[in-house]
Amino acid sequence: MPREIITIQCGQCGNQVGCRFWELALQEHAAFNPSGVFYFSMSSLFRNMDTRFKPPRELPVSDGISKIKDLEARAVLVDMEEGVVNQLLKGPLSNLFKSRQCITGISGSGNNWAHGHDVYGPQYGEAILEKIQSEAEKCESLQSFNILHSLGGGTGSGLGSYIMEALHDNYSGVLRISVPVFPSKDDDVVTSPYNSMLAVKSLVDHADCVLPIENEALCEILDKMEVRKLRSPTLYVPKPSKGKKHPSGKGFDAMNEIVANLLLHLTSSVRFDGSLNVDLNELTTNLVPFPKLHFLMSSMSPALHGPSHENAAQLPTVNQLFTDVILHKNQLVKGNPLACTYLASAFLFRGSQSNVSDLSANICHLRQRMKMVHWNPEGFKIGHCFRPPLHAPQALLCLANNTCIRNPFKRMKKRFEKLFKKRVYVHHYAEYMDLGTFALALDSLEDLIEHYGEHEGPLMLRQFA
Amino acid sequence: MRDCVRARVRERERMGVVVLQVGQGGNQFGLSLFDALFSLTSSLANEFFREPRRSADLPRARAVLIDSEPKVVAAVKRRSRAMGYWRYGPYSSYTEDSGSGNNWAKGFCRLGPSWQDALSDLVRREVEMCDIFDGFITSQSLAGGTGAGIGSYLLEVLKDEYPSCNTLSHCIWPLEGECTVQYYNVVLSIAHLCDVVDGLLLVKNETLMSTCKKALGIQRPSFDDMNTVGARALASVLVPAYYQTKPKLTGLLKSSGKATTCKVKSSDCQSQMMSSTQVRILSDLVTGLCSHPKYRMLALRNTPQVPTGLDNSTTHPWKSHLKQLKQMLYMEPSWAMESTSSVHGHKCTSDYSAFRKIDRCVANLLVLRGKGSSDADVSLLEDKALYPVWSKDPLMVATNTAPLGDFHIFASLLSNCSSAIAPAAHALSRARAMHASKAYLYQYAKHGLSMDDFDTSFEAIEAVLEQYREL
Repeated sequence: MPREIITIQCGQCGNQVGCRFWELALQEHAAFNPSGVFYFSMSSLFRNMDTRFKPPRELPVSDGISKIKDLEARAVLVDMEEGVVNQLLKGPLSNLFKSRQCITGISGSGNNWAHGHDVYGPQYGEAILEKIQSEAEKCESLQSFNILHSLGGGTGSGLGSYIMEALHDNYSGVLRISVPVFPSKDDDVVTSPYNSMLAVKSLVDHADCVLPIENEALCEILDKMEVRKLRSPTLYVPKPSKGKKHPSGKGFDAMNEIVANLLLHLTSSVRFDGSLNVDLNELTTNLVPFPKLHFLMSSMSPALHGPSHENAAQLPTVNQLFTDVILHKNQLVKGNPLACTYLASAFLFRGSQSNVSDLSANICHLRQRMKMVHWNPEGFKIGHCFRPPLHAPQALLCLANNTCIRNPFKRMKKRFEKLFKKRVYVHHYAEYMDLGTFALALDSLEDLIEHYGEHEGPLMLRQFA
Repeated sequence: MRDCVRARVRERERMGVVVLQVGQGGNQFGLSLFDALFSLTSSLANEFFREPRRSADLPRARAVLIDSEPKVVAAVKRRSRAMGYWRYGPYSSYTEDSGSGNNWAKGFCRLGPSWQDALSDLVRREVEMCDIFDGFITSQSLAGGTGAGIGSYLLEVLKDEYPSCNTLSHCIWPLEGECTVQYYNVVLSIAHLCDVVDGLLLVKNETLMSTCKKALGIQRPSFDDMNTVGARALASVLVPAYYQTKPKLTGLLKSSGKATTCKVKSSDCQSQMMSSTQVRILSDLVTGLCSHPKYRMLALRNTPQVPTGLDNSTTHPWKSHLKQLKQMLYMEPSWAMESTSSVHGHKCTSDYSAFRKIDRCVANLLVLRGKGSSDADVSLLEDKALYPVWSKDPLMVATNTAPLGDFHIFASLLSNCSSAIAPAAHALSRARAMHASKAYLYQYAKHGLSMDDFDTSFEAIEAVLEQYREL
């Protein structure tokens, strides 16, 4: 039964998001599994190990009734600084990861994509691939690699790009899904426009599917939740963490929790039963009509769901979830998809209180408000997983291939050109790579923006004339 | 004479039909179908169930369960065990882990061929457990990659391996917006299935949903609710019923090699069996309903949807039901009926204008169940306006005085008619629009399906539509 997903966490941000993801994954599975059995659903993300043996022996899922002995995450952790990974290995998740799954450097990438890609790539590439190979061999039917990284720094973006390329070469039949955090305009890394531009080219060429996240969008979501909390004090809002904060003042923990929820929701149909199962490869088939246009806008309602004490009357209904999920304020990338054209969209519902007729009826209502591309007016994919998320009776994830994704790319291009015009910091990159790479990356981004622009169309007719 | 008829009756009782459940939709529907086949008859339908080896065990469904991911088949088997009346055979399923990604080409061109040997063996094992094998009924959805793609491939293979057996394909037509590439998958499937199956029964999820809401009062129907309605409809033409022999039908029966008998007078089941010929749905497809190779599309209508009590006050209880069935034929194609009052809030318009208001039929199989069914007046459905002039003996009538589960009276009409193919017109136009923009084509090309293959399928569908327009 296992259809495994290997998570590759690259760089500081990637590992922090990953840490939150694994915490929530454990909580989610534990909530429905009081007897501690290693169910089939757990085998997508975890292995069950018997550590009495040396080396530890993997216990197969078999008929899904063996007890959990020792869980290991199907993950590879990569960072060119030791701090974050070491913290992970010492923290409450330490049992999940073994040192054979981790690759760390010492001196970091200096927030330089070229350092990450052209120096650490070749240097650590073989070792990283070995670790990935070792994980892949333990999978019966590997479904995808989920790559968590940010694009603003050096490791996540540069080494992350290198890993993406290597996965494309060595595992072309396995999906490569990237969840990159795009830098915001007030990012404290001055070279982030260069790093993100260079990384996007790699994502265009080598990823199957990309779900970009913008910190600004996450901050706005958290802002709105705090406002709601004033009206409804029992609403769950994660407490700001004590550590480093985003320039907006929001704790990274809360922002990471939103991304972790996204990942759990995305994989819920692979792990749990439902009336309309949606595999990750189905998402790519349905949402990517042209090979390079694989950047999806994601939004969730609710975005966060912790243990709140809202009574049943205050919880959103399924209709409300659908209405909220397409609003610009709930997007994880800044933009208003309703003002632009949808190439395709997927609505993945979790929960057993509603069924396919509710989902179908809601999609019908939403269609009236959505501008669909003329050759795909019914470009929807519905998914229904019976298992709700932790702490919420139902939740909805919308993944949309929408021309509005051009906006973050346009912003990225503008920031890049502002710096590159004066060749500021370029010499740091020239040390490791040919400067023509910038031009190629810019071309690739402009192509992408233009391609999406071709499908931006007038309001299309709703009749089947 | 009576010994000879008894022997023939025994032979019919040992007939076996193997149901192939492919993909998520196919397996979920298959579970409901077997449930209906079990619960709607008073005795075990041996065509669809076999006795277990140990008498203490439950009867086994004559089924093969196929899916490209394991969860659904596991759930369906679990649920059949939990029901406790029958179960699936322990070795009658084949699943893998890869999924077909809603990609028809992946199912048809990649997974189908690579699973061919394993599936052939599995099917053969089940076929060999039938004393006399009648044919296949498949349950598949047309929207995705497994039911549509692997299902289509498997049926081509089985056509070669079992050239003399017949196949009825029960195809679930998806709701709008179930899957972005569903129009491609639907068009490719129908184009391929038309060549290899004997009858293609298209059932729209939208129709089932609408029936649940309007007739059954279920405001928010689930797939289970919809499958129950659909399964009951299909089971109503599969569980035993007996042809009413009328002089004009004897020619038909003779040519199919069945014995002709006297008129049935008695309402007793035993003598029914002994003096009439039982409907053998798969053989009758070829000889009756779908005897013309260019007309294979079927639609199923039935009434009532809710069990009604025995109505002793009306002397002609059948009249109103038959009138309703006739009305269903005279309205806009039944698909459009749903869309006018559907949750989608808009009408399907000009795609159906090519089809006249009367749903012209090549042939009809009318199955009446309940007291007085053998005496019901079916002249409403013998109306010449329904049929083209070249269709000889287009109406076949079969009855069974036994009730259908809780339904004391039940009428089903399995029609070879133009409304069956009507939804394909809409699907074709959508598929052509996507194809013209080259959307998603690279996904299909990756697995070996070219633009030309699409064109061939478009032409095949257009040809079928044209045939039915000429009716």
